[in-house]
Amino acid sequence: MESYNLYHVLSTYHLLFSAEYSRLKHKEERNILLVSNTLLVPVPNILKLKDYFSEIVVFNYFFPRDRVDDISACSREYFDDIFCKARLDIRDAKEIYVCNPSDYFGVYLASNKIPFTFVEDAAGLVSNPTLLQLVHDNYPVKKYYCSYYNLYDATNSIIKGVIGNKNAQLYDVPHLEHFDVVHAFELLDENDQQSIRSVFGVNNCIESEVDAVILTEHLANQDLMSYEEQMNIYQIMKDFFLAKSRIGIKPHPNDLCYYEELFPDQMVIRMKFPSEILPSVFSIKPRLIATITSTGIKNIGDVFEDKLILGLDYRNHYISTLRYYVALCIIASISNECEYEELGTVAELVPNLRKYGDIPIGSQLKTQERIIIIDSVDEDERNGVFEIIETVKEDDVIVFINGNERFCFYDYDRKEIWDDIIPVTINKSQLRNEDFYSDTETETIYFYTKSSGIRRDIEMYSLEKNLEYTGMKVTVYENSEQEQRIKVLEGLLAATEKRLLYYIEKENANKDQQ
Amino acid sequence: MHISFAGTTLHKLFVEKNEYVEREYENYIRVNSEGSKRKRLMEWLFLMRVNLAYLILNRNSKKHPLNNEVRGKLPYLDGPESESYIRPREIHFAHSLLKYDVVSFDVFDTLVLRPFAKPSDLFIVVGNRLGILDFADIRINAEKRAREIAKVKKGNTEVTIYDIYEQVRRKTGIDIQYGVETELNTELDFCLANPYMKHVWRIVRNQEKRIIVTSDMYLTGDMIKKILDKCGYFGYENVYVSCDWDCSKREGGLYKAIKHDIGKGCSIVHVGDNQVVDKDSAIKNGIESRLYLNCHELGNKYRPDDMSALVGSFYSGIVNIHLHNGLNTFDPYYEYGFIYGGLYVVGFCSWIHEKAIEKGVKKILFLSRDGYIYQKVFDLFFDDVPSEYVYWSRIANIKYAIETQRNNFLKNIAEYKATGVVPVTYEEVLASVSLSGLVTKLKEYGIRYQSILTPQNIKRFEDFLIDNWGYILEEYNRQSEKAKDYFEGIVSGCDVVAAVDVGWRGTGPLGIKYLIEDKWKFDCTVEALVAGSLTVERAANVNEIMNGKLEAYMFSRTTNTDLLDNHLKTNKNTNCIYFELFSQAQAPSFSGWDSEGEMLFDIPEVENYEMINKIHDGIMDFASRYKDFSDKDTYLRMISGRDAYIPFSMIIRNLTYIKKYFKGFSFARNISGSINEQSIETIEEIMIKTGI
Repeated sequence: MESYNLYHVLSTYHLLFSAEYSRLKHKEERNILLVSNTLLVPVPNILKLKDYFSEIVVFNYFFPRDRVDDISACSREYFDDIFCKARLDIRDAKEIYVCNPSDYFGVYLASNKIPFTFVEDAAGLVSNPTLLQLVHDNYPVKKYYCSYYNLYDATNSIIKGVIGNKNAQLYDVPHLEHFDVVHAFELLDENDQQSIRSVFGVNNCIESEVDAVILTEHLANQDLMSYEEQMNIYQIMKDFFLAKSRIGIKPHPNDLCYYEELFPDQMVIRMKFPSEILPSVFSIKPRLIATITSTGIKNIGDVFEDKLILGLDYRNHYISTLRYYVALCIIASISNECEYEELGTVAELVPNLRKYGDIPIGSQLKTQERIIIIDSVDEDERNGVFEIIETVKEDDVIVFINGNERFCFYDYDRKEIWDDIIPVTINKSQLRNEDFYSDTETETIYFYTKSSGIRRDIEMYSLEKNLEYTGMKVTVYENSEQEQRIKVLEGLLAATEKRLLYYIEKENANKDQQ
Repeated sequence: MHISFAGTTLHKLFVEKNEYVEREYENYIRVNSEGSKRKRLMEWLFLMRVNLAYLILNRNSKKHPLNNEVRGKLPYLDGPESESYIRPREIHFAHSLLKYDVVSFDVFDTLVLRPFAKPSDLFIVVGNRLGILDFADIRINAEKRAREIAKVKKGNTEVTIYDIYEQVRRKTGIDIQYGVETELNTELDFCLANPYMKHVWRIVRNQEKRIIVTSDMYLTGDMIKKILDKCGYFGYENVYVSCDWDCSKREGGLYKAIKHDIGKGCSIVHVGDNQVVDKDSAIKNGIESRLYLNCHELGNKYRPDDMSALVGSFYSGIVNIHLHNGLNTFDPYYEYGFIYGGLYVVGFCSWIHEKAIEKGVKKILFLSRDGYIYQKVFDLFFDDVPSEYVYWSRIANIKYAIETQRNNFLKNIAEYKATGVVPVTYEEVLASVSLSGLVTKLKEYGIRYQSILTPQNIKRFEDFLIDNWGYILEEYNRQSEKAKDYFEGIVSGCDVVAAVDVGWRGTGPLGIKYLIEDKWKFDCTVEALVAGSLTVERAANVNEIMNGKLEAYMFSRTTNTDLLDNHLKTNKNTNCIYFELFSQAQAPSFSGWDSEGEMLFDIPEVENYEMINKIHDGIMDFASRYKDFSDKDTYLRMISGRDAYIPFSMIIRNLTYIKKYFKGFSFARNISGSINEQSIETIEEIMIKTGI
């Protein structure tokens, strides 16, 4: 039998890699594509890749896995059958390039001890396998097997080599074969570029002008959040970080959100191509590329003038964006201080909001005070919070975001803190019924300062903001002294209850342990 | 090879001939074929069995041995009911449709939901709008008759709503057009876009799939379009309705017509809720299918059967479509409020409003802590009678209306404490009711203040209290001045107010009535209203009930006494605890005023607050849905006390659910517990001690 190179492909990114790699490294050889049937819907033109691959074998990603506890046996049975039907012998394969080996085909090869080359699932994942493991939390059996065969971190001894983008790694990965799909695309001749674009349905350049492009992810599809939460996170992203930008939305090929309806006056790029060819798709390149955690930005981020990455921590705590926004607006109204100290805050949220968040320009009143933003700290780190409170000076300001509502700054023997606290209530109202995925419960953040003048400024602060795409109106009212007194009492009561609850839970847990 | 049974002569003979048989058979297939291959032999055996029961032995549905109505249904006890059947997430369901060129959706119970356990129960409301007695039956029979005529005239049973109202007109004389419009408008008022399917629809549409709508229905295509418009379904290519095309999905003709219309080479998938019509028949006619199980069929098996026809169906419908549409699953505490407490609170609030209008009440006083959720729901529904949340409690009542409460005082302070599960010293008992001044006098009666109050020494303690009655009166009268000031502000400008509490003896509202009318002599009368009046003693408050001083919504010693008996005599008299879970508040119990005039509260049971909050969310969500659906037919809010109680009576038939989820709920079973110890019982402890 004639030897061949096999490319295992699950996503459009893998498809792009395989087309480029086969063209650049194995052009005159027999290349065979082993592709998941889940790609047939987003990439219906997949057969056009016949120029690149002499054979295209489609496998059913949802092949029967009736012995759920033994997916290696199921995988062996299924893929043996696939190769048999395709009249291929896996032992004839000269090279096997497995894009995302931490999946069923990887398990198949590992359990059969068949050597292969590891191709990272997305840019930077070789050095950051946790991202993939998180996704697999919902698939514990698969996760178990992939961990068992060391398929996440490519440490299985049958792995012949590792291919990835070294510029996207968290650290220097030894023996990594560097391959940058964006750069590789530029190395292809024009005909090849055009034929790859047409496989993904991009026959013409996008003429419409946009300031920023959001790369979305299929978070709900991967069960990382609910469908409505996913829509909500992008509404919030647009309203808080890209409010004044005309945006283009580039949905992940497996992302099924109806962005056309959520953002009717913005542009949605429906062609299902890997984000790596995005730079070559626009006639006028957008200024900014933005994402929550899409790894695609690691490959193409530097091609754009600016990039906004909200990150994994943000994905888990995006619901606190409003609290941070209001906190930063109030800080800006009382201070020009540029450096903020942070403790327990959502990673990168403060700098991102300050840079992109349309925060009003600060007043000219004060410049020298310390501004400390504290959100949620672990119980055993609360002493650090108390130390900060004890050491602040007259004009220093602490903001307690209190995202987890556990009042880390309070304990029964510290009631006096409430003498210097100003609670700020954030009121929310719903502007429409359709596509409203937030809640309207009021939220409260707490400012602490010993300066009565600053406290008064905070009490007098008012804000009104319409979140157009979220469908919500946000209001912070100026408070009278009497109203403020009631709010402090309510805050004290809520804090007391939460602390009490914490101690009850702790005691119960101790009892259970005993 | 699969040969479909649907549409064959055998199917007509053994399945369609009798509606009960058809219903049982379709249910059986749904339950038994899901996720696995169908077992034809078992299906046939089942079909023969139900035919034997219904056709040969002539059993009606009530008598059928498979019917839950005879055995007494149980609610879903293994967890939240919304998790009793887990649908694929909407995004995954939609994903499974994207490989087809055309997606066809069924309308009723798929795209559109209605808050009735049975579709035909909507006709009861239509009957009310038309003002015709027994309309629902007339309407059902008219449809049957119209189909019989159609069968004779044209060989099939397809009819339009006009054909049906032709028959209605024969029986009632109403104008056909008026009848049709009334029914259509009622459908429009009660239909709701299925939130799960709405996402599916929008995903499919935005992936540029062709969408059609297909229904076996007597409403015309234009009428269906109006319903789709109202529910926000846009972007479809065509609506195929059996009555317009003179052929149905069930018989297969409509699927054939669709295939012809769409053209060759296009793959079609149909989404619907009926196994036979939307799946078997579609597949038989070359159309792929995705079954979306009917929300009501998933939920009805857990709904009570002994409620009145309309409220029962409306209640069940609201619960079914909320819990089983597949968009969300819910928390067990939320569901406790939504399923078992929502109807009761809505019904009670409507009854309070009715009483308020009838008696010219100027303000409703919702007594803490039960009144917290009542007031929220009341204010959601009504804005014509002001309401206020008033701090009050049994202990405050005993203190400030002490003149009328001697027996009650002695019972609560001596008898209940002595027989309670928490051991309490004399000193603690006296301190808990602000009578620490009496501690030094205990010695004169040979009582050691640190001894535990027990059933054996009740008599001596009672004697002690009675002998010192003058001191007790004086002490409480002094404190009651603060109460007077507080209430003076609340009832100012009102000649009639209503005081509302959950129950049970009515001492709270009756105490306020006594204070305002007799003791303080404000120019104001008080209507005392409770959800239920319940006393262990046969005639404890029967006078107050009969002379109208106290009115009870659900049951008392004179009305719905069977419910009272059930409440009192099952689960070893602990049902009040489970009932009061609905009306807790996230605040400590009020215990009166101190000498400085500051309000006193017990230690907050914060460990309950998260549960309470979720229960309240469930109640509020139920209430807002009930309100929205009944806005045009407000008579639906006239919920009898019996109907209001029945959902709760379901969950206490078997305490598994309550044991599982509420065991850690702290509960002050008797009032005036020890302030020093504050050893409040959990529901689990109470259950163990009472042997449940």
